[in-house]
Amino acid sequence: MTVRLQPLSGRSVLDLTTATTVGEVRCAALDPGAGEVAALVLKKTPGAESLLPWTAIKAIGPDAITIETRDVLVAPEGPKQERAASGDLDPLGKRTFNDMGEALGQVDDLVVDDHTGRITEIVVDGRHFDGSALIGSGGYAVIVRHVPESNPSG
Amino acid sequence: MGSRPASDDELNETELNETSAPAPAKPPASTPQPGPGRYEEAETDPGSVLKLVRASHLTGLPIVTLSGEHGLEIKDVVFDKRAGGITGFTMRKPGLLGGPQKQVLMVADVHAIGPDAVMVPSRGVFAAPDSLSGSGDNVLGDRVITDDGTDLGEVTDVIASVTAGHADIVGFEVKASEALGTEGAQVFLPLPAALAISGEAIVVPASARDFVSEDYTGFGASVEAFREQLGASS
Repeated sequence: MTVRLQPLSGRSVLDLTTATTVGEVRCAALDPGAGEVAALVLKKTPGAESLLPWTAIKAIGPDAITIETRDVLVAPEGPKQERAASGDLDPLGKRTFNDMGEALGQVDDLVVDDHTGRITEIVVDGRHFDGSALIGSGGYAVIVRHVPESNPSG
Repeated sequence: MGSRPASDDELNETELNETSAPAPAKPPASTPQPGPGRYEEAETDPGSVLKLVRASHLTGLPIVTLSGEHGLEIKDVVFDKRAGGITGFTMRKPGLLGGPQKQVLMVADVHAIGPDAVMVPSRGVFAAPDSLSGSGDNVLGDRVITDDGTDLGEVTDVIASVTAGHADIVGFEVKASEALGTEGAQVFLPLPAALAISGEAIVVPASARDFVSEDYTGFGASVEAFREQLGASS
């Protein structure tokens, strides 16, 4: 099963142990090297623990994302995680370039395997790129690998 | 419950994922791929690898790392006249308050020069300014004279062929002289692979005149035809 990231924005995160909301999804933090969403970045959390590792998600429901316990949330550590937690590295809406220096448009959405967090598709201005094309995701842009022009059979 | 805290690795961006990123996979056949259409690219013969860029279009392009960061843009293109290529670039911060940067970017360290950005592996490739010392000649404004002594005009822009790590000058945009019959017009003049340059003028074979084209489209083919003709007649 795959899930789209964009609709997750603002969805509340429910701690099943206490049946309380522990925050809302702000954005995603990617690990481009692994081709995965490493964590969801939460806002409105009671403490500094604002990162929800993707693999700690129990379920992604239409009205809430559930976790077993709020103990799975972690606080950002180091400048890069802090940057991710600030929302600066949010891929959605970012400009996109391929590695040949061609601008492709803005990231509409990412399609993600709900179990592993693996990015299966990147949607840029309505065009779908295979998730494995992802090279980088930074404060300025998302970078995908250039796919050479091929003949129709390719 | 199988949960684990995010380790540093999980959230770290890697500066260059060339080796760690998965291999490119074929996109679904139904999705149109980004084509070169938006590149102001001279048409070339099928199979040609000439990818042309005008030097004047490079100024102001953002310099973007493969990890998606940006902080500087191209300021000036630095030529090496004798080698007939682009050596590198000076850089500046974008915007009105953007001051010049001391560091420079060498062409050899560039991942790709595209229509919308100059891609670099990481910020770590920026070099000390003295890397560019010894080059830096400006060819704009130089006269182009044929080897039989005809002045073809004044260089107004440089057309380079770009491949990874190289940018060779393959032609000039020239403000045509009387001799070309279109005085004052901007025309495109292909150059031989080995460029003969004197201190004040650029000397080209007389036959280059026959390959002057008035529009940029098709100029890549002109360069190839001209160079083929030079090879055949030598």
